Amino acid sequence: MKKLFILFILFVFIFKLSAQNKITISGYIKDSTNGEALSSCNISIDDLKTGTQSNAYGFYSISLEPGTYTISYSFVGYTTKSITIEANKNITINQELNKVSALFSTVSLKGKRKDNNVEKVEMSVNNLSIAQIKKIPALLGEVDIVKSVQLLPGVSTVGEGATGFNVRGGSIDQNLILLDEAPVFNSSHLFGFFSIFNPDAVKDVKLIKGGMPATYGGRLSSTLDVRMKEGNSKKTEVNGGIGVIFSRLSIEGPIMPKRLKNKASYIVAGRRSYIDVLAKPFTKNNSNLKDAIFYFYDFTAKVNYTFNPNNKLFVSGYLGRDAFGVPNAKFDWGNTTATVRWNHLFSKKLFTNFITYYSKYDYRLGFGSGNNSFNWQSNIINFSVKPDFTYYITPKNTLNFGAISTYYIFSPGKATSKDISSTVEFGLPKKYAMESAIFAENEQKVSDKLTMRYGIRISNFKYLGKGTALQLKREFAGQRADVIGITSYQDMEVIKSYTVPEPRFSMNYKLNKLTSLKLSYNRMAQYLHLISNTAASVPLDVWTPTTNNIKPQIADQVAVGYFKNFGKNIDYELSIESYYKTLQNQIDYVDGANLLLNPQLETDLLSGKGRAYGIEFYAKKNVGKLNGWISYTLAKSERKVDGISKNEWYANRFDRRHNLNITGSYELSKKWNAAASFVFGTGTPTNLPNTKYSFQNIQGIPQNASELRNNVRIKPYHRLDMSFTYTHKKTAKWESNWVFGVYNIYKRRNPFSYYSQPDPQNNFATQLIRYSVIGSIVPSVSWNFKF
Amino acid sequence: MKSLFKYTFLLLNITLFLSSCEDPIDLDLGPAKEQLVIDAVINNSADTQYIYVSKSVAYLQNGVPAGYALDSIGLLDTSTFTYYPFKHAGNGKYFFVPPSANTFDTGKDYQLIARDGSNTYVSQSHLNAATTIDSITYKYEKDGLFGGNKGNYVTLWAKDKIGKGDYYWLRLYRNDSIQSKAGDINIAIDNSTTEGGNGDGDLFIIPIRANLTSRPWNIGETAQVEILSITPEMYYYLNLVQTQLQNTGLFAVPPSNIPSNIVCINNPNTKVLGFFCMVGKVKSQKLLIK
Repeated sequence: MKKLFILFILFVFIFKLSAQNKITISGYIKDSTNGEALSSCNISIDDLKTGTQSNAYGFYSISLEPGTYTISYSFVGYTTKSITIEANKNITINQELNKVSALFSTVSLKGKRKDNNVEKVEMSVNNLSIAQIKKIPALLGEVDIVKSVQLLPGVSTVGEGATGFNVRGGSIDQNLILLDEAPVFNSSHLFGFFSIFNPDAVKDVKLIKGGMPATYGGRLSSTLDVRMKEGNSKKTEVNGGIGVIFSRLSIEGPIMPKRLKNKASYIVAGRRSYIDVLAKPFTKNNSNLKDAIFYFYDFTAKVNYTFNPNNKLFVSGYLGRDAFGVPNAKFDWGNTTATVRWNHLFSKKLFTNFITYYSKYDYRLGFGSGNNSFNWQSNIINFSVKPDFTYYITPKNTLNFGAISTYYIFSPGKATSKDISSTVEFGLPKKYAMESAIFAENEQKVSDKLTMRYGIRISNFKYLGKGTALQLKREFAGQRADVIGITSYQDMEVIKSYTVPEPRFSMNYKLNKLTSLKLSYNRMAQYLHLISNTAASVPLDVWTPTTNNIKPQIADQVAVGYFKNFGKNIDYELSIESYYKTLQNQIDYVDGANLLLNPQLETDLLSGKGRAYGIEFYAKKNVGKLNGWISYTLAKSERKVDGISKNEWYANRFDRRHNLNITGSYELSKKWNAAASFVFGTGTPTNLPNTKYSFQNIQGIPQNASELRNNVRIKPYHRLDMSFTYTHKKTAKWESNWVFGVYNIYKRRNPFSYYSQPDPQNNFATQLIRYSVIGSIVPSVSWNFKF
Repeated sequence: MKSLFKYTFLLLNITLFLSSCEDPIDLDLGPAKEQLVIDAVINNSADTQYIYVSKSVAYLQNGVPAGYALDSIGLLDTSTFTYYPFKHAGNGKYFFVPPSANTFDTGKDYQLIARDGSNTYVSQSHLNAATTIDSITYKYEKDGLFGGNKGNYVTLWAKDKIGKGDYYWLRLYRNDSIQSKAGDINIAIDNSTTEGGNGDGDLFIIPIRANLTSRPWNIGETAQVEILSITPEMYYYLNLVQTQLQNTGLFAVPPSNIPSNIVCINNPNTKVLGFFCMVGKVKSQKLLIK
């Protein structure tokens, strides 16, 4: 590892020598109204027909021969600015761009440069700005980031109420969900109905499904990068809303603007559900529910401070919690994250982002009270440090390199059982691990037509003591393994170490100004595994490290894509992408696996392989009165595990052959805006029994005599939603709107699953049930304001 | 846990007007291949012991599966090689009257041997010692318990045997009738419900001792609890049975077949359903709810 690091530095040094005669133009680009950094803003040197883009923090840097240049700064939804400068030495130009129009939410969308999709080397990437997300009709009117992501090509879900999302045939734990660069382990409130991100605090969202940049790793299928707003640095602003489920409030603004000269700003945002309050009239006469606890909340805060042009600090945090309970039983869970980032310019060409974060997910269960009780708690904690360097070597070469190291503490569970006479404590021992990686990647403009990005990430995972390692022997494929030995390890002793080199490659070949072909290959390694075999993930599901028995998951993906823009003002973008992915060491479970609180969990885990392939069509209109997108995915995702389904390939639980999403919004007038979305998906496969028997008076025990997994496919899923937004006349200080929504407009009873059960009315009969999470139309209304 | 989730969703439905719904449907499930079922749970008491033999039936066919007659079935004491043949009482029901308690004794291993035409089926089980029961009590809970309705709830005061790795099946009798719906199946590892969360030699934890059934007891009903000391294999079998019978809703796991511990020795590809287990049994006093 060390040798490689020295090599990088040498590499940087050589480039530095070769570029000595040049001058560098650099700076930050911001929104003129609120001071938010503008990422992916285009900076072009008109005279040279070259250019660059700002990074996630709005920073750009470009090195040129000394001379006189005209520089243009452009960004969709903003007025393009051009300046002419005579540059003889390094020069800093910070730029603020003006929004074209500042109407509340219904204006032409703020987005990336129009031809980004054709120009950029990245592929299999979807960007969503919060303005776009807010336009999509949402369940109960609650703007939801994860639900919006599910409308993108290559993304699917097993249904309403299911946590997370599936990307290109991967499982939900294969998505790296980052909130201001800190990973979030459970992205849902209320199981899977709402995601944990407060839309008022989010700036934009980027989903990467392939051609993964080397800076990201640790999950196989995707990275969902959620960026929080920095907070308005010009004036104090309040956003809020009242909906059926939540009330939201956020405040942002400059900190001591006079003394600190607008160098510091903050945002704090909170939400709380009040279903419990609204439900009181319905539950007070029901003895089961009258004292039920039922709420969730989240709180987000961020501050940033610019020390000087070379140093900027960001501190952000998130705290969210769900709580449920009935008399004598309670259950709560939540995420906590904290991130500190320091942007430092070593030189005008070397941008550094030092990231350190803490992330925790925990849950607690309790039964009874006082000295007649049982309590259980479990958590996963990680601390991480990541220096990330971007070196703008020449206009043709940008090198990104860095390292990351994460220390994990897994506490699978600690229990306290009390009765009148005694208190007993027991539980599972903690587990420890360290995940590290180094990475380097160069983006090179080989010619006007060809751009390549090539790099490597080398990841390493150490399963550490103090702890014990089990030696297992599996006599029959697909069945529980036997423990044949146990070895104990001391504090910090390495129980098992794995190193995986992960090559990354992308290229873009421009056929003409509006068309390009792209190709990418990436290898990904994943060392954390979500142990879950339920249809929808539950908050009790545990993340477990790679061990001597659980091997790291590895995926290799090749994708090719065709990107085209057309229309008078490049109003339309089109892409067709195809991918093929193989997956190794996919976790499966023995029949009747005991996943909760099992000290010998590894005996119940199986390992198999997977393959997923498909083709995705995506057409999008970004601007104008009517805008939105259509995505269609034809895909297949399969698994093969020894001892399961007669050792044959079988379709995954989240395999959907066809997936169609159409979402659009139309500006009816200055005041009214209408939006609709339609989704269609082939039904997912499921297992059903075909015979039954009885044992010890227990009737109707199911048996699948065919012994094939996922032998039945459920009926297709389709749904139409609509919403109408009424915007009040904007005053200088006050903006507000009403959103009226209808979810599942034609009352489709979409099956979430089919299952078998004994007939509750007749002990000697059994039945098959179609289970629909939402079986009727769901109307909603919400009111949003800003001042 | 299941009941907590259930009430959460009930509450959610009431409040959000989201009607999650469950409709019975009819589907073609493919050909229903009949399989042999042997149900043999034998205890160490002096009571008459039974083995039930039947064939599995199509899933959507109503009624009790019909019995099936074998050529012979019985138990072999593997330490003394004494064979105890069971007699056929008709319709697949076989019985044996032990001469005294502990004819089938704790600490011993027994083999089940069944013959049907050219096939021989065997299985083996250890007989684990019974634990003891201190008492059972009841109490009126005006707010209900663990999400159940208000009413009288029974608590079992019994301790796990000393030593880790004891497995139990706690069976409940309501008015002398055994309670065998999925929700009334109670199994334990030591004093708890999971392998990682168990103490040793302690009272069964409150989610077990006070939650044997979610249905409260009416005045005039009698309650009785028996604790069977079972083998770990039987524990996992019952755990699977319970899971498969309650495998509904959002948190269903992929349905899976439940492997038996009975094998066809001359043809391992002939699958048998059911289970064989020798158990040490203890039964509480009958409790009248007044």
